[in-house]
Amino acid sequence: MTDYYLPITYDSTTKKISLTEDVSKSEWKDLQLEITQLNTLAAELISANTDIPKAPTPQSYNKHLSALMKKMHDSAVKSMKEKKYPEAIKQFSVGMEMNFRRPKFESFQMTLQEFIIFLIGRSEAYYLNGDYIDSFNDADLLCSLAASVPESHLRRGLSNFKLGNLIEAKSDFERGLSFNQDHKKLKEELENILKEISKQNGEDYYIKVVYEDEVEIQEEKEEEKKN
Amino acid sequence: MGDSRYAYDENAQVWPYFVLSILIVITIPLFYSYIANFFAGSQRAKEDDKDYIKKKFDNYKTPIDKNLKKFESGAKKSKVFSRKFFVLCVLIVLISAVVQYAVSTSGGGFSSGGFDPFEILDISSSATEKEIKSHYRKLSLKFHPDKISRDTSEADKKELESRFVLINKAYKALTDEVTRANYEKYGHPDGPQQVTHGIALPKWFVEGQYSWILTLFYAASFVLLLPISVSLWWNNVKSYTKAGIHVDTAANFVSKLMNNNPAEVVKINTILKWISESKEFQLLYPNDSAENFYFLIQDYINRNFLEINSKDLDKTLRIVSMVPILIDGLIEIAATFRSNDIVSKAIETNKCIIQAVNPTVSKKYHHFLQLPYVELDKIDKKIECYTLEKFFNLADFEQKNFLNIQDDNKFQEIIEIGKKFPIIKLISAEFKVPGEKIVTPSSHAHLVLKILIKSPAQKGQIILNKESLIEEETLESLKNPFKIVSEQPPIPPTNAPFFPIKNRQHNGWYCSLILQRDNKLSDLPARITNLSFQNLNKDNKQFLNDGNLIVGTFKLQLQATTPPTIGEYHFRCNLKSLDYFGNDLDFPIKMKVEDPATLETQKTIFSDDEDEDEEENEDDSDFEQEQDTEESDFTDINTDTEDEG
Repeated sequence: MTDYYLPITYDSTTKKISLTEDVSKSEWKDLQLEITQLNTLAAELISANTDIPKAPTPQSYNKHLSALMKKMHDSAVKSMKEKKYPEAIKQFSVGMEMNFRRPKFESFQMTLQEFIIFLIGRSEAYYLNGDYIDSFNDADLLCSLAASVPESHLRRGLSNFKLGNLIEAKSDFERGLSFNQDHKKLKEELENILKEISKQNGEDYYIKVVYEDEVEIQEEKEEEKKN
Repeated sequence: MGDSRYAYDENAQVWPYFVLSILIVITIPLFYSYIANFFAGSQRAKEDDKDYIKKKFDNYKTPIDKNLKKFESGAKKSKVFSRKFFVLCVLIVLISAVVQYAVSTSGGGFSSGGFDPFEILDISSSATEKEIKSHYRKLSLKFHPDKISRDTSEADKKELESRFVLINKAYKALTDEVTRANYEKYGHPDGPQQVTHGIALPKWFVEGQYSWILTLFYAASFVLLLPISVSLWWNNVKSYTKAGIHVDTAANFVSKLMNNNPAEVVKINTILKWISESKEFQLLYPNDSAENFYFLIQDYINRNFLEINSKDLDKTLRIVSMVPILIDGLIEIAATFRSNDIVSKAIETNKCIIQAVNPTVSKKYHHFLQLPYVELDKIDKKIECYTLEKFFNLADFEQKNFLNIQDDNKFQEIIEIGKKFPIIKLISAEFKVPGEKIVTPSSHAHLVLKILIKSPAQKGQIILNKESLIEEETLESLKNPFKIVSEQPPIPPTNAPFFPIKNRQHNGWYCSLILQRDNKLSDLPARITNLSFQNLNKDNKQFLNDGNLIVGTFKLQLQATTPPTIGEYHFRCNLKSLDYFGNDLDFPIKMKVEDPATLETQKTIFSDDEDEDEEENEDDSDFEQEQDTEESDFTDINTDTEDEG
């Protein structure tokens, strides 16, 4: 075993650990991140006033906070309907901030679900507001948090399309379709993007490949028509 | 022979052969590898593609042409007159000298140490006692000392006498009991002979005043040369990975991938930063920092050559020439992490290096920077044209205006090179289990791609014979399904006027298979190395009407077996070019795993034997139950992920 020396000190009054002052912060960036995380958890544990925090079950989830957040979400959706997109974005962001500040020892599964709901809303609000890069970033996160939901890929694909990344948009739609082959909107968008791509390539993205027997059938049909 | 138990090669009869065999053992493999190397190089430029290459490296001179030439002459002196060639020459001269020496000294002939009574008596080994006796009498009469005439010289006399003794001995060996036993046991009628060890070196060389030469030779080879060469070899093995990158570099890549923050997007610049931390660069230029290397590479891909002085430019080219190898090492490591994002970004970075193009700066116009004379600032950005295929749809004057190049010769060269740009199109893709019509569970499958290489100038509807695309399954193809792939000609060199190494061996496409479920690599990516580019030489009319359009094949062996449960599995296949922007392929592909047992049970329904039927049905139901449990496991996982959403 190798002994590692870490440049950290403990302050008993604030009950927090920190980097010693003689080291550069940029060099110990990763350690600093871990220290912050540890301090947050420790602070919550102290303020909980119990030896062991409650088990993170869905039952012990803070219902009061959930109701508050539901309200925030509702009002954001209302702003969306009134086409006040910047306001909606703000409200979704505030909701997400509240979500971040939930007690850390709560059920993460529930927290994550809540977070995803806000993320979906914000991605859509960004998109409608024309902030396609932000919309893409949110959708990209959605694609990794809720990968099996076709709509995540639909959102990402749409943002990619607006950003001009046609090939990426195509593969987004295709990936979405792999989770639900009959998704109407995705099929529509895929068709649309293929048209766009062939337009960008001078009508030639898919060079038409016809097999010989098919040509014969076509010719036969044409002859029948003439007769 | 004296007191020594060793028989030295005093007459210089054996040692030339000894030396000769040593020389030949060295020369023949060296010669073979030299010849093989020479032909491997020329084979790359095969007859079909010669025209293709010639047209590619035409008149265009890059702004760094002088430095590129210098690099080239420094890196590759000459293929024919390499160092190996001189070693070979020296060896061959030595061999001929030794042969000549051996021939000139072999006149004396060998005194055979063996004793063969049959030969001495000049009879066949199957001779009867009577024949032996009569031959002996004849010979002893001829060689008897009393019969020798007095005129013969003293020396001749002696020889004849010894011959007579020998004849006597031989006769005794064949007739007398004791001598015969001696002959059979020790190979000599007189009993055991003194055992000698032949040394193929003259005596003066071992025991005389020149013995120090031999001692020195032994000391040099066993005390110095052997340990040094072994340690050098081992050091080399120890400090470089199989992919040819330094172990420190590989360790750096691994730590980057391990600590990769999924929230941070890996960009081309990120990859270049990792690359510039490589140990290889530090070993070459110990005084420079990783940051410095990074800036040099950035200058190269941005084509900021005017600001760099010539000496730095040489350094840049040296560094840049090594980047593809490093990227390849990175790809290999990232593939084991199954990280699709990093693998595809690394390939993208490789394109930047090969073409000296920075797509983050050039936005959507980087496809055109691969053509000669084209400059980003001059491109008319009002025209919405981002791909070469679209470019060839424009009228002549539009093309000229778009690239802002009015010189007709230059323009013609651009068009020529643009036409030879390999665009890749997918004809068909399927998963195949050798010897099966369907994809069976838990079996070894491979992905079969049928690919068409076309020029961006070729357009329209082509007609293909469907049957010609179907591969017949013969015993041969079942044995090695990949033969058809390797039989295609190797991919011709890339048109890369800025990259310092011409005729790069490492080009082509990387084919990776990605699981749609988690967007990770399902297999290690494989490189497409063999593909015919012959379609590029056809003009549009030939292209459309030619019945002999060449459709390429690529097969990717899946490392893992197909899933054990029946169902549809979704993949995404990605063909990414290592050399060019704008000729990648990206398409979804479905693997439908079917159960061969269902076909079999249908057959058994018609079978006469009822008992057997029941048994088989039982077996089947067991099998289905097993599948059910496995499927329920799978759905469990699925619902979990849906819960999250």
